[in-house]
Amino acid sequence: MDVIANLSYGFGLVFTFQNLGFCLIGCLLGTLIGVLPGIGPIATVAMLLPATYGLDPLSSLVMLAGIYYGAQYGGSTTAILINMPGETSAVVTCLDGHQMARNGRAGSALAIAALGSFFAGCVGTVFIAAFAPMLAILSQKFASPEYFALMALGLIAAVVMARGSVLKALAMIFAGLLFGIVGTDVQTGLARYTFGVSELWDGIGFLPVVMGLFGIVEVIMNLERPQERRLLDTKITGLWPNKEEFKQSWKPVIRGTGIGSLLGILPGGGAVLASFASYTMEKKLAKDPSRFGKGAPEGVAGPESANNAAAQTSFIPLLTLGIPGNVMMALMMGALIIQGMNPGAAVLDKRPDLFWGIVASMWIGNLMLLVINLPMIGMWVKVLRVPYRALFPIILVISLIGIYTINNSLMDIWLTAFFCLLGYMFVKFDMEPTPFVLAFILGPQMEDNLRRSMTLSRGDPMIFVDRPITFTLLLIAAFVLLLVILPTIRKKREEAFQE
Amino acid sequence: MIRLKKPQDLGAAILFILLGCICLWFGRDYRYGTLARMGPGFFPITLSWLLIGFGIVIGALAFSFNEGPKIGRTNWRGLLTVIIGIILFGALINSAGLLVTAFVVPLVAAFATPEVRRKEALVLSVLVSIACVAIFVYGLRQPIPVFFGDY
Repeated sequence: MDVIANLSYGFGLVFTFQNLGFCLIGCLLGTLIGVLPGIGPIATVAMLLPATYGLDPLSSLVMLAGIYYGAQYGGSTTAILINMPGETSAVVTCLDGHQMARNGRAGSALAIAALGSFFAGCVGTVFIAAFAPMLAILSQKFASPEYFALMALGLIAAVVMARGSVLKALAMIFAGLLFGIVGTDVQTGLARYTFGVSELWDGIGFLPVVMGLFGIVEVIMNLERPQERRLLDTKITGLWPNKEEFKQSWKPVIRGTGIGSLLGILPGGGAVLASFASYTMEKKLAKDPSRFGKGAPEGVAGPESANNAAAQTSFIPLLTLGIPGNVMMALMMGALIIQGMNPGAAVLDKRPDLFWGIVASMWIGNLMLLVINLPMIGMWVKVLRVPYRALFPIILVISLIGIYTINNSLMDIWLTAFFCLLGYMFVKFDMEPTPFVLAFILGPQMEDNLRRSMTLSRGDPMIFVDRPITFTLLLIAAFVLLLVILPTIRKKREEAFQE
Repeated sequence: MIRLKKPQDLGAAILFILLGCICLWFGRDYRYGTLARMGPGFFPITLSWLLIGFGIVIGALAFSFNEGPKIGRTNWRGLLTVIIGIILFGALINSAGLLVTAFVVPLVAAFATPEVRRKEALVLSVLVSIACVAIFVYGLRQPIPVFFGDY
């Protein structure tokens, strides 16, 4: 079978002593930073990116995969042990995971999360191997109008996933697109919004934006909140789920994996949706739903598997279409570009070694996690006890070194300061940064594809209606947008009537 | 009576409108072109107007309907200390080198919280500085100046 042949090709490339070593280091570093309270997976990966710059492309991708899964798992660990989700998709894990820990089943909760994630990771890998090539073939038929429509759909999906006002999220997209324009116009060579700064000719770097808006603002916000960290004093005993817990968990793991694999492909943060969907489903299917929220193993097994499966399959749109579905994938895209690989349909054709190498390294990343992390939980718990006042200065300086080393450019440091300020205002005014970042990343391509489409049709906007795939994509986008807007309008009207 | 109900939304609206106006002003010389032959100004100018339009609507809605949350207090100490830390990094890295920068930045940043302990911060900064040079310059072989005069 093709899938097996391709996968074994990838494994053949990745399975060297050196690569496994890098994966191990990546996993360790990712978990080490990811487990620190107040540092989410995005900040973790952004911080550790520079560690991969100096390696050859394949090794660096393998290490990156290790970091990525390590960071994800580190997030679950903090969620379970101190009830502090590193990101939105871990919120659900807190509900029952932390309760399990309070009941003295912390070790078991962590093991269920790890085993479930590993299973989901395996399935996710096969899923990618089976479906990515199909999508890549389909996407080769895509021309500019299709790409434009696809990106529009991706951005609208990000709006839907954003909490709060739809209007604000839409405006954030326009703002993000505007920031993406900065730099030299591809078609005319005109330098736009560069203010005479030559470092801006290539556009604003993605790492200052992501680090400023997510990493460093997160540090400031953590300083603002009173530090309430109730680390459980009970020793973690019994690293293995008992028979009953095992029996309760395996079905949720399989169901969670299924949900996660499917939802992960959707643009706009499928992982969050997947973990919530899985939790709701387990609660509905359970014989005794009242156990949920009090430490039901199903409430950890399902969402954690769904989360990890989605984290895996969210690579599909990035690798086949070049469109990142969430901020983490945008970061990955940046990392791939640094390695000289432009994600998109062409990768599978031109660099099959890199493509299958990535897919294989994902699986290895998952395996490493299982092998090294379970026995090392004791150490991660120690890391958790480091006080934040000692941590954040180190986080800050390492992040800055990472940003500086991409181009050795001071401009990137000034930009980080700017985006940090902007990001702080975003938080204070309750503006969702995710649509902004995605629009920023997609901006240049979106403009280019719009202009090409319009040249193609000689200025007739009907080109977006006449082409069936384009029209369908835009129709879905419009429909989804309508779905979110309608209830808000209704709700607002009701509230207005009450006044 | 007209009363501000959602201060957060008004803040956001002002930010959107401001950004739209800045982009319009600095993009005033970019050729707009036509649908068939879009100039470099087409995308930014259209977006700027959209942003201003949305900003106005969001701002207007901030005065109507239901009450929203207030804007949280600004933690000036945290925000400014961190920003100063970033700017110090940029000011020092090329002239004084990593050894000095990775000592000064964490030391200054540590004061972002009132919980700061001076001695602890000092010791930590020395360790961070040495570790950073060891990891980034000698371990990962990044081309960063280490000390004065290396650039």
